[in-house]
Amino acid sequence: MTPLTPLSLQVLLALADDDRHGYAIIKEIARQTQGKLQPGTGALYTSIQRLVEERLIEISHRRAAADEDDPRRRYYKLTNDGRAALAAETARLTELIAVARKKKIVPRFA
Amino acid sequence: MTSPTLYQYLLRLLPKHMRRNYGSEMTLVFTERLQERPGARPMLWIGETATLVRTGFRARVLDNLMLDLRAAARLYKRNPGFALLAFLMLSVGIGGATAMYSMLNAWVLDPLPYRDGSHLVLLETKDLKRGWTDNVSAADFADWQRDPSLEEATAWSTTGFNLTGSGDPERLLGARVGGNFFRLLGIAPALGRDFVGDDDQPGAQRTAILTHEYWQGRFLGDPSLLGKTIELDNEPATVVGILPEHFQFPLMGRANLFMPLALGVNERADRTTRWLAVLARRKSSVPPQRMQQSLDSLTRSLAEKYPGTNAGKGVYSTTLAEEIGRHQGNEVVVAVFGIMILVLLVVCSNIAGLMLAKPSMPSSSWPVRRAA
Repeated sequence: MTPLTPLSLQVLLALADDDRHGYAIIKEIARQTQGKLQPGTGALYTSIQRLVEERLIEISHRRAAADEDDPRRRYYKLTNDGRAALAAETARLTELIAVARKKKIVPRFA
Repeated sequence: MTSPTLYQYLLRLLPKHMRRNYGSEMTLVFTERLQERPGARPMLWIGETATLVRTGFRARVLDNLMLDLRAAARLYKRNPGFALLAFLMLSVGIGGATAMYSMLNAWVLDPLPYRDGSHLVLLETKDLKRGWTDNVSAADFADWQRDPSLEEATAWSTTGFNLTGSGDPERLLGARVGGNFFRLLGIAPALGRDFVGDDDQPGAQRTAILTHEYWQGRFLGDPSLLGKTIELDNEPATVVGILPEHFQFPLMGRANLFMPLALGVNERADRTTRWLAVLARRKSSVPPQRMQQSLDSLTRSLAEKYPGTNAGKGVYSTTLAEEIGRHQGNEVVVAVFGIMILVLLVVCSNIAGLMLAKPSMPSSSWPVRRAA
């Protein structure tokens, strides 16, 4: 399996606590990253398509409230594999950070 | 045209299956974003177009390429004999064309690996009556050097050296060169220094410059060799510099060691012994013809002044490029390159013929492949 791209990782993370539709995912990613990452629609759906193909996310049967529901709107949710992949990637990043700390790399936030 | 319609046109950049699966959803999301941030509309359009172009290119071109490669691999596995034949034919075609291209590049397209190589000329003594050419005497060289059409001139003479002292004794080819030889070519030593004026004086401490290849081969690239003395023809000489890798001056053969000419007083005055090869840099403001005229009038005046040695002697000049044989080789190399391109075309058409002659792939796989 190819490694997760940064955007795919953000998508998995956005779906970790709730099922969301496409636009909600974009907004959640923007919130998660304090606005640093605001993926375009094309980029987001390329990522969604791959994640669906790799069975890390799937289409959820949940529907929104009637007033904002649109037959075109679909909700996505994490699969068990997706949750495991997210956990594994988080573990990998945690180890990376631990090593960086040991080497006295000081994070600099913009 | 409304935004959703325009966006649906853009979506055509994507492969069909992605458009079918996600197209309407993407249109919805994009429209929502446009409505939410009216101020950012142009940016949204630009960013979106860029992503769709990139995604579409990747999906259509690269993914199809992978499919084709996999199909080709399957085909060749089933048919190794055919694959081997095609492979060999292509190797010959491509290999030949590449080899000829490298020759074309080195002999015709590439400039000489020296500073302003096109201004470098070789000067020889010409016997005006018989038409043959000869080397140059040290005294003539000193006079030619001052010709106003030349920016600078230098001389060299190849010779053998006996290297003794540490390790096995060795006879190696080298050259005695004018102190300005490397400067004139625009070559600076990679390590150590170039010859300086004092090195080129008679009675000066003997100095030597080595090629990078010889330094690596004989002295294992030992950097502490610089400043040390080696025994050349049973006399010590200090190694002052190492030339850059791949330096070569084709007219010297495989010369690996250089020492200054350091002409003595008697040598300088000598017009009889013609033993120097002369390399000069023509002034860029002087066209080649004017240089030849200027040298002709100089040699005429020398002939009047020193009739005993210089009567009937002129100067013969060629560009360094010509002398190295690039120009003689030109037409041949270009022609052979053309032939190799034709061979490559023949190879391609032969392989295409072979592919047509055999059912290269079960025809039933095409609908599947096309659908992907």
